[in-house]
Amino acid sequence: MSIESSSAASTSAALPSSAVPGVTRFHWPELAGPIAVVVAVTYVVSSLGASSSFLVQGTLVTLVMVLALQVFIGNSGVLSFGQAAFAMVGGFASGLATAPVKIKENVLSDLWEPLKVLSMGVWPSLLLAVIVGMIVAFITGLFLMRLNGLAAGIATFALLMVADNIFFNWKKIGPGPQVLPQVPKFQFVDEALALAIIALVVVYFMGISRRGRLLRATREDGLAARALGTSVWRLRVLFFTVSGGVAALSGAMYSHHAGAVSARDFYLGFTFTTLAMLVIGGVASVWGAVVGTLVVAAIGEVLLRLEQGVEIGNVLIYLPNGARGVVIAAALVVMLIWRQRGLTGGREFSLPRFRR
Amino acid sequence: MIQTILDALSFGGLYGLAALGIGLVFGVMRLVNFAHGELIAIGAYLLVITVPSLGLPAGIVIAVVGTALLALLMELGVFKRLRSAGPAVLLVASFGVSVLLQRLYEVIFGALPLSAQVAPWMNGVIDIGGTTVTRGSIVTIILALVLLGGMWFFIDRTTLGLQIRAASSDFQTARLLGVRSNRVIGAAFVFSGILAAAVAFVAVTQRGSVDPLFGVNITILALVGTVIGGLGSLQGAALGGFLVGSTISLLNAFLGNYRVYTYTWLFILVIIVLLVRPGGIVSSKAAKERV
Amino acid sequence: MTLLKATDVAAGYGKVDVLFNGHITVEPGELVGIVGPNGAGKSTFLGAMVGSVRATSGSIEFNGQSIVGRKPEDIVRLGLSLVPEGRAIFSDLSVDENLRLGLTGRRSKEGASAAIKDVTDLFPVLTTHRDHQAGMLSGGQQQQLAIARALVSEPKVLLLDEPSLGLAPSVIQDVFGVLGRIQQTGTAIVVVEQRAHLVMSIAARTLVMREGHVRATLTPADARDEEKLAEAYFGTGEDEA
Repeated sequence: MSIESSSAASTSAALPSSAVPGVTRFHWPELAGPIAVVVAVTYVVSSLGASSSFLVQGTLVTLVMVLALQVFIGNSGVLSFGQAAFAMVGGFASGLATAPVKIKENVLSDLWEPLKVLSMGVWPSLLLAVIVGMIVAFITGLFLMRLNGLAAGIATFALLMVADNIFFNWKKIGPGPQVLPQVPKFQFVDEALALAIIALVVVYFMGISRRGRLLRATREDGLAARALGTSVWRLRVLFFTVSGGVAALSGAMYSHHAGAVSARDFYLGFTFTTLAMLVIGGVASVWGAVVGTLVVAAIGEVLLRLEQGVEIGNVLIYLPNGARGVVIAAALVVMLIWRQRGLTGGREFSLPRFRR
Repeated sequence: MIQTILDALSFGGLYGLAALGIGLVFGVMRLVNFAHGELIAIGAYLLVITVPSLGLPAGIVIAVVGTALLALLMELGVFKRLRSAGPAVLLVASFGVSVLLQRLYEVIFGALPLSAQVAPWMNGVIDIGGTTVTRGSIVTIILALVLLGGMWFFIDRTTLGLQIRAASSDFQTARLLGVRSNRVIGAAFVFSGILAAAVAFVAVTQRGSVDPLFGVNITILALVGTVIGGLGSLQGAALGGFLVGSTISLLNAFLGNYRVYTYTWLFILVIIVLLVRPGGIVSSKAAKERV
Repeated sequence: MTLLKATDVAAGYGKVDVLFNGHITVEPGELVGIVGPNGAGKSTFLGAMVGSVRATSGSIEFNGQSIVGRKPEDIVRLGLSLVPEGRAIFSDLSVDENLRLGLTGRRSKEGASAAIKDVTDLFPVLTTHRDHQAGMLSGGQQQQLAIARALVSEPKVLLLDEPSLGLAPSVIQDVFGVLGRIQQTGTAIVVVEQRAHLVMSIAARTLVMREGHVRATLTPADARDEEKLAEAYFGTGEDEA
């Protein structure tokens, strides 16, 4: 005798699906699980000290970025290298809006006047970042979302190149090749945690929404996607836009984490790391994004310690410098060959089922 | 003035070779090999390490063989196991292999540049009919012509070349006729490795040193060339690479200040080509379906 | 010895099987037909035989040895050659190059030029257009090229997937007319067609497939029996699956 999953807040079987807008099939453990894990890890690791707290905060920033990738790539099945561009936008927007006006006037003299005098609190600047990120993502998405597969991958890569070229050089809208310093930092790790939870919730609900499920259907079947025509394009633009907003949030969070921001913070290395985290964890689910981020970050830390040298008994063990980078890259390649669906298999978090 | 033209031609030839290397693998596998840059890098590393002690001819042989071997290794170790994977997975995989190799080079060779004078005579000048021109540009042009010509001959006139063309056009049907898929793909990788070694030679003699990120910029630009020239067309790739290389060279010579935004224009052009004409400049009927 | 024998073959794409129960026997020099409506699994069956579609169960024997799971490029060298649906010629290559590619599947390099001569005798139009781009040929000419290309490897069994597709009636006559001459050289032929009448009168046996199963085996005599034909094709009297 099989036992149905007890947690489904399911719709009545009699109602046609079109009568139930938005959310379908919400299983609360799928959302609560990742949140609980993230909260637990945050507080446990932070309790170890200030530097650990800083490390966790950085991981939370990265988690938000990986979630940004997940909401788009996981649901649409279309690869995008471009999200780092939106992180750049968000980081600059939030950083410029909160950095002291005096600093901007002295260090960034070429900056556009309105940006020089712009000043607001950290939290409003985050909102600003998200909005700007979504606008840029929307506009670029209108064009890029017409492309599939390989073309989309290359085009979004091109987008990243364009963004990097512009932000690195155009001193009117940002610090250019310089670093924007003195960005106000987060006071407590709870701030980053709250933002990460918000991102988790948003991305999760986007995924299980009716539109999300529709988009996922096109992921499996290219022919069905073509048959649906413009609807697919619209869905992709929607998810690309949301992804851009979340990525911008991540970039903004980064600026308040590091206390400074520059264009090269969001370039190829950043793109690679976050993509690797998502693939290793599992592209298709929010739980995959969480698992991937935490696992890769944890392994990265362990390897970093090993690179610096660790004493076990009387023996000093250390890895050559840069070994950490090799291991993470190798992990990505191995995962693609051996288990494309990632550690979580693309499944969401679920409570162990009890069988009578 | 003559030098400017020669520079443009030599740069164009160099990027044509790089783009052809990428195009060869793309043709038979629909794989955009980001790791092509790391093939160029290993070629450069091998030259820098072996030439000072073993001399240039030996160094070149070692570099060519080593690069071709690494290319084959990439195929056998990674890409062969991803035969049935979709384009997105292949793209991420090649990105992964690229970063993996960059980081491996950092561990093996160190993050700092290694320098050596591989072929100092390349940087000298020669007198041709009254004007002085750099040897490097002349040698590069000749090398590019020889290699591109050789590749053309191979692809167009030999049986294996015919099989590669067929596999690029319609892989499944080629197999039905008996074309050995693994052999054809392996050959494509080996040849792309040889082309990468040639690019490495020219680049490392110009720069005088090599570091883990040696091949990144060249690959990114060569990729632009491949896309603009038309994904899936070998002539298109070479042509596209040539155009990108020579245009950048001319822009550097004439525009000075504004060249900082060259990348922006180039990549916007890439996006436009992908949107409007995925087949690129040298477009064929089937190109649209391939991408 | 039976040249080609397939029993209980199931095959499909990804996780979904399209063919559930394919079986066929082909003796040397025979012409066997496979007909049935769209989606019956006919192309999948042919694909499973040559290894381009993965057979999930069943057995396929060629000349007594099992060929399930082998690669297409190996199977063609054993003497089993497929002309795919839609002809699948290399449009960017010349007619001559297309033919030369067919030589790849030959068991031995000897006799290659003789083979090319033989097929160009069968299809003279190919000599006329020898150096032209294959994509410029008409539909009927492309079909001839596709068949010629497969013949060049001197297969023992030639599989044809819907050769009449997209061709004008007079052209179809030409193509089917050649089949008899091919048979005379000792090559067995399996022809898959949606239009049953084209095949039934010339085939020693015609299998009728529907929804992944072989429903009936008909002889040329049955071709005149409308009722029997309809029963096999449409399954009147049976439940819809």
